[in-house]
Amino acid sequence: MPWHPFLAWLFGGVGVLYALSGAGYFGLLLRGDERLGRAAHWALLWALALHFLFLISVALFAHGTILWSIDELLRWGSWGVAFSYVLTLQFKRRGDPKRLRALGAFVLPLVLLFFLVAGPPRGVEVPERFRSLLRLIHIASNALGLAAFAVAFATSIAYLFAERALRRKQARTSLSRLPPLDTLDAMALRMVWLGFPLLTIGAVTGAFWAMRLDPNSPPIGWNQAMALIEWVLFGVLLLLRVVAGWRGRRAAWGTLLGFLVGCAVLVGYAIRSGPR
Amino acid sequence: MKEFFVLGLSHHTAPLEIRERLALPPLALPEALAGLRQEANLKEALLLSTCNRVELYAVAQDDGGKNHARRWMEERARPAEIFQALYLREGKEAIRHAFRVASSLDSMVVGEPQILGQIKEAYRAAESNGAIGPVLRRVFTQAFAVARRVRRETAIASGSVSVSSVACDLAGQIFESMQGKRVLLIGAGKMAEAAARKLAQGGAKLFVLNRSLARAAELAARYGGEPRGFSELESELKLADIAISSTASTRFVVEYEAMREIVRERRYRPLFLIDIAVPRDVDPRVGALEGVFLYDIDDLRRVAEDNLLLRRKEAEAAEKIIEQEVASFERASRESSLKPIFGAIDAHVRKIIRQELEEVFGHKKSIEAKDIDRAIERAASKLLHPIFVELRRAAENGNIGWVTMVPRLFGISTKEIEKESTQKDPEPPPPLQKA
Repeated sequence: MPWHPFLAWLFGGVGVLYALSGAGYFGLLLRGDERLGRAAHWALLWALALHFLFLISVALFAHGTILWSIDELLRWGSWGVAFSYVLTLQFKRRGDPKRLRALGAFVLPLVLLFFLVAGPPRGVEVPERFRSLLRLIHIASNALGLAAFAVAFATSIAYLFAERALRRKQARTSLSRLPPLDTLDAMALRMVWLGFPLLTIGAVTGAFWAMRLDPNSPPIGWNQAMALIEWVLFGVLLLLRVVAGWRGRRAAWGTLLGFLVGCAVLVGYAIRSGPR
Repeated sequence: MKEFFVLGLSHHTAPLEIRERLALPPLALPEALAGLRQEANLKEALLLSTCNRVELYAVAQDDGGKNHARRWMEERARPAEIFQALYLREGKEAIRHAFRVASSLDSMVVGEPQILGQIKEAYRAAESNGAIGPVLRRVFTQAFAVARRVRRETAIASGSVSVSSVACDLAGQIFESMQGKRVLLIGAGKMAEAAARKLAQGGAKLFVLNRSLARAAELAARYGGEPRGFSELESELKLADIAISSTASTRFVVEYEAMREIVRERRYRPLFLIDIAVPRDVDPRVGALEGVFLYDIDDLRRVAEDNLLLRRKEAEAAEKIIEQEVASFERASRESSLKPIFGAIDAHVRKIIRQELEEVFGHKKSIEAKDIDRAIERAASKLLHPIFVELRRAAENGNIGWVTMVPRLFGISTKEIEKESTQKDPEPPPPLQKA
């Protein structure tokens, strides 16, 4: 089914606004020009509003069904990433807001990537078997978990770059405009703490739903195995942070690894044939 | 703006010995300013006295004012020495100078933030002395705005240029806040002390470790910190967030093997290690350990020099801003100097028209068309008479510029003049009628 022109327009508008916002944040990071940061922030706020309208419109065209496919997960997930970032900016009482904004240069590319990969809705017929509360909870918690892990991922990348620059005594690079290392580390930890329970709920509900859908299907396939690895990685990471005091560089690498495995799960679902 | 001038000396023209002879303590400023104003007969005056400059920004009543002010300055130092060092800038040059000084482009360390505060203080002192008038108010209000613009639009004030400030900036790239952070000062050098003081001002808790416990206690007391014996070095390093080392030791005080163990026990908590000592106190291999950020004196100096270089580069952009602002200030000044002339012309024209209207209609109960013609004629004659008289005089003196300019003032084109000359001979203006 072709896209509805209204949805196509919305999709394009949101994509352009996210791209503009990302470019503005990059400008802030590279040149330190606060005006670019402010413009980027406004573009992001508009993108968020338009993105939400897009999500609601998609749901209306699907007769009120939301979160019924992997594309939907990415669509809501990308909105969640942008929304969590804005919330972080809004409610971060301490620290320099300009430096927090510079972090947008790492967050926005992820938002745009997820949004574009999800693409516009391919069709609005939702198979009856997908209209299930269990599946809704499964995808919603995974979308929120994805958003939290994506922010943790972006923050960890920023941490690794900033830490490397400091170690190499390159104190006057654009990376010095990022938030301090301890802020980045704490933000990544908070996001992993937030994402892990959501991932757990997603995994449990996913397993139940799969069993209900097809009791004869094998208990664990490639995607489930990767999801399990992701869950174990984040679980171990949290454990090591608490018990062994992991932080900084090694915690950032752990977050990166966990998130990439999570992406592999998404890719696995995306390339699977049939409704996603 | 020609009457506005700057007279003074700065680090560019005078060594410290001369500057300090002329410098005025803040408490002595009001009295000096009052004396100077009286002696030099200055309409407005502001005295700026910092460690790098002593300058008088003033508006003179007459030409003698500048000479009196110069003499006043020379008397305060040895005239022979100060003569070469003093500079006088007037009008546009003086405005540019004020803008550059406020924007910290004329400072010893370009982009340093203190100068703006010092000028504001001097301005307040002059204002409370009644020495600020319309000229200085406009110049300095604009100078403060220009300084803000320069800071906003360039990176002139970015990055620290002193070793101790660089250390604090770097700490700010690792830790969000100094509040509650433990700063360990190992040994005591001036630079280390300055860095520790800045960190303590940010809310960090200072621990001073010295071979002499008495010296450690003395230093700790000064900054509200705690003294420690040298034997506690390892246990303190396990707890510290920032450690600044500057001992006179000829061998490493912080060794690699010991530090590797300390890092493990710290559970990879970040430690910013600043080694200001020469020879170095910290084994350079320590910098490779996880969670340790080691900067020695050369690293800090390099950052400071990079910052200074960047500021100089940014100064070029700032100079362009200054030029724009000087030009727009001059334009605004010219426009504002025309205001009273516009006002006077406007009042004059209105007064004449009102007088003539009252004269013609004042005692009449009804208005007739011929009365309106008469009123127009009377008002036009009265308004145009002095212009025609001046034009005739200008033509007699060969001042053609005037003759061609006046029709332009009334929006009369050359074509209209030509048309008029072909129709009839120009008539002399009607005689001025007595009201």
